[in-house]
Amino acid sequence: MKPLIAFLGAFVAALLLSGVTAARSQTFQSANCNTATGQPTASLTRDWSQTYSLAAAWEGYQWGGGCWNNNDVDEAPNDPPEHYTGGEGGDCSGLTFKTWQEALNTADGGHYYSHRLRNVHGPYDAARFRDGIGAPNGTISKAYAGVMDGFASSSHVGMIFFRGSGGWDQIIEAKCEACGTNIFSETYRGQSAYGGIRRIGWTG
Amino acid sequence: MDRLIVALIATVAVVAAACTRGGDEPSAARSVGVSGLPPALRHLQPRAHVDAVRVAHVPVATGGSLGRCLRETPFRSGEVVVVSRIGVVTRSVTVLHPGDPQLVACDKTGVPLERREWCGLSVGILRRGRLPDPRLDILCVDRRRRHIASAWINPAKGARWIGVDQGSVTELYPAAASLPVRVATRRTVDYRRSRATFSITQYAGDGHVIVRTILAARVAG
Repeated sequence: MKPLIAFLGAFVAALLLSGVTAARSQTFQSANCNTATGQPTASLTRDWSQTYSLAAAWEGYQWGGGCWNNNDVDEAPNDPPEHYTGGEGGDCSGLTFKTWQEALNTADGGHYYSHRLRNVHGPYDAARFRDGIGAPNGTISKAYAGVMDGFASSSHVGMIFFRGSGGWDQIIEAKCEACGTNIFSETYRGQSAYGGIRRIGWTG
Repeated sequence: MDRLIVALIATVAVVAAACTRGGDEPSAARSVGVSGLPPALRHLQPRAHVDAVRVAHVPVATGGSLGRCLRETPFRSGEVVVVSRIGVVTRSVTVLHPGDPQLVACDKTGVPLERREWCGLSVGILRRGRLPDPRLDILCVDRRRRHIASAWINPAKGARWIGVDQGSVTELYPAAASLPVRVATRRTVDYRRSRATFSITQYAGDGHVIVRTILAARVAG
């Protein structure tokens, strides 16, 4: 009987310890996000994209990330720069990919809704958006870039939330770990490193 | 006649010594082949495949295939350092403009991406000569439409060769120009999750292992 009790005791202790370890290694993404596929949708309007992207504001920034909730709290702050830790938020290209309802297949220009908790980044980085790579992505003259079009350089991409004046625009962007995701006033329109980009296939 | 033979042998010996001399950085076209490897690397499992590498200084305004890559970079004038590699699954060039922290890579597999010969393009920012992120690109495909992952590896101190496990071969990329080494694989590419893993072993000039790592890279930024 004693060996059985000892075994059960050791088993329970091991179970508890493994639970503690698992809790410690859990990230925002492993606890909250899913890997569902994007859902085909007929429409993609600029208004809808504004609303969708706004949900990502105040939710933080995650290098290589693409998953966030909508409680206005960054639940994984202070990551080291340019390191993936499984935290909350998108990065600049991940936010753009989801907001523009893009497909993983670069030849597919259709609209695919991703819930904010769908953990997807997409195959493009900022430089690929800048160059208009992929069927859904195009380039435009910066002078004609309007609401929810974007500006992209080799290292960053953001979308125009409100078109401003005097060289300034209100840009919705996942900017950096310290600055998070939000609407920022930017002069990308006048910077030579940035090109104008557009989601091809807006329906309104 | 004997003197001539001795002189010829001496000349061949000097040339051979110069060609196989140690040092971390080749300055011109070089592919030592497996026979030129130190003994410790000649019998790797899986067997070694040595890539060719060439370092050159070229004007930004260059024509041809390289010129088409350079036009994708932010560099517009002067000379750039170009590290060209011919590997198992890709050809790549890594481009550095002296004084600029941006490092640019173009990759190609022979299958164009939207009519672009260079299907891969990555830009990284060097910090003290190293890249904090490997700048993964997964948009290239091979002729069987399999996705190819390309990324940079920071060589460890003293590393002469970067070994990548390709399944059937260990691909050895010579370190060059004190720059991160552009590597590629078609194994372990998780395209749906925009990530890839590389099984890396870094070797010193005498063939001893400096470090083994599994690099988990993601498309980011």
